[in-house]
Amino acid sequence: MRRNLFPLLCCLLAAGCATSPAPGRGPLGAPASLPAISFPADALVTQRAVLTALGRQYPLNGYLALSAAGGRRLIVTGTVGAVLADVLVKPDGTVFVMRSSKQFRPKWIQRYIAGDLMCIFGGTPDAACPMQRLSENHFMIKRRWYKLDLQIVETKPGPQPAEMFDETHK
Amino acid sequence: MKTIARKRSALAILAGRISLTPIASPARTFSWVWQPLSLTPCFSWVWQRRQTRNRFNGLPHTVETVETVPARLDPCSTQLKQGVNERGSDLRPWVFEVFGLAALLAALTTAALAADPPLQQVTDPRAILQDLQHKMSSLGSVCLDFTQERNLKLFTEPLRSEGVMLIERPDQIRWETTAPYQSILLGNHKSVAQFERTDGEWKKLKLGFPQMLRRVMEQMAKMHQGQLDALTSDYTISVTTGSVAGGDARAQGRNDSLDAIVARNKNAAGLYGDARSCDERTQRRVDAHHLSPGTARGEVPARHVRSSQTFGHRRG
Repeated sequence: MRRNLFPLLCCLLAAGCATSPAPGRGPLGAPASLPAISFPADALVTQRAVLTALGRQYPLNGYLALSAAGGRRLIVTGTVGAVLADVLVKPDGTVFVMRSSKQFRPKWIQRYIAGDLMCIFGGTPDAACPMQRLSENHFMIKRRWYKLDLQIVETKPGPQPAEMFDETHK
Repeated sequence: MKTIARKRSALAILAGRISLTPIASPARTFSWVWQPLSLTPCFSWVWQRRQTRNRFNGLPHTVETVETVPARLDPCSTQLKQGVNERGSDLRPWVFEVFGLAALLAALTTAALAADPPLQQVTDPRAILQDLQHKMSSLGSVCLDFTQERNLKLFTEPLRSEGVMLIERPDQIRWETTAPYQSILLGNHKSVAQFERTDGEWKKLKLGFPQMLRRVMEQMAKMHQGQLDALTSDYTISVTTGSVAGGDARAQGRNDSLDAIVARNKNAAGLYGDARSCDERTQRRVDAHHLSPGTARGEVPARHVRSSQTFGHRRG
């Protein structure tokens, strides 16, 4: 006897979609016990990250300048200090690629680095942000092409130079 | 220390402590560190299994089927996204050499120059370099603390990191960054490995550019052995002697992609004469980290500094 399993399948799918987030996890995949992500309005945030792409891992350093006005300037360097990417995100969300490299092309910077920057440091990450907060200063971003394991290693409060947030000043 | 104050890449050793200050135009200097990433490695590499005959009907045909093959270390030209993210494997490892060159030439300078007259530019440094090579041949190992300062004009303060570097004949190198993050780079002539400390655990990375790192390691080993002749094709080496600090050696990349200034030592004993304290520091550090990169999980404490435990690693 042949049965039509389509209604049952629909019910199962609907139930799966309605499943609540995993217990113990807050928004953005952060453990519920962790405090909300917050940074000083003006600060220089130093990060250490490991980018995994195509089975290879690339250690990176990130230096993020935050302004009280909402500007964000991120400079990514490689193992020995080479500047691989430099991106400015204006308070209105406009992205300016200030410097690119062979390793990080302008489109990648605009699409992924700026996206990940706003994902973690944007204050209001959208639902599509694939970020998981592993600990207070440890973040994981998983996208189709790569995985970014990022730790905030140092935060220095204080105003940053105004030209950092001026796209005309390179 | 006027040398340190220069805007160019600078490395100075003061009583065994190194301060390294790269460079006015870092982007140009370091713009080719990596092997390029490829999002579609060899995806349309269709010539691996050419079939000129239809396997079902036996009729000849010229149509190739697309198949995916494993990624290669070197990016190959692809038909998909051609020109977007593919580049040849033009590895130009000069950029890595700045650190090794700086540290090692500092060591060389320290070992050879102990005089105290005012600074004088040496027009023909070959004799001094040969003397350095001769004296370096008696050194089995070097251990030094370093402080790396990177000046980016956008930042008001230099970006600083600290660590320890150990070099042992013939080519064992351990470059350990201790602040603001913890990372260890190990290498010899065969392989390079890097470890990152995350959430209290050491993790070995699958490095994406081991060839270039290996090249750096080779250069550092050569410098440690005093084989400066092997470096003159890549660097212009100049020597200044007679300072209070003992001397000054500068190496500048011939392709204008590298500038490294290395120098002066106020206290040679700080680098070499106090090797025991360096050993002790390293011993404590190694023990504190319980690091043995030669093991899979890296949780076995090292017993002997400068043994294979300290430098050992698996092929990276």
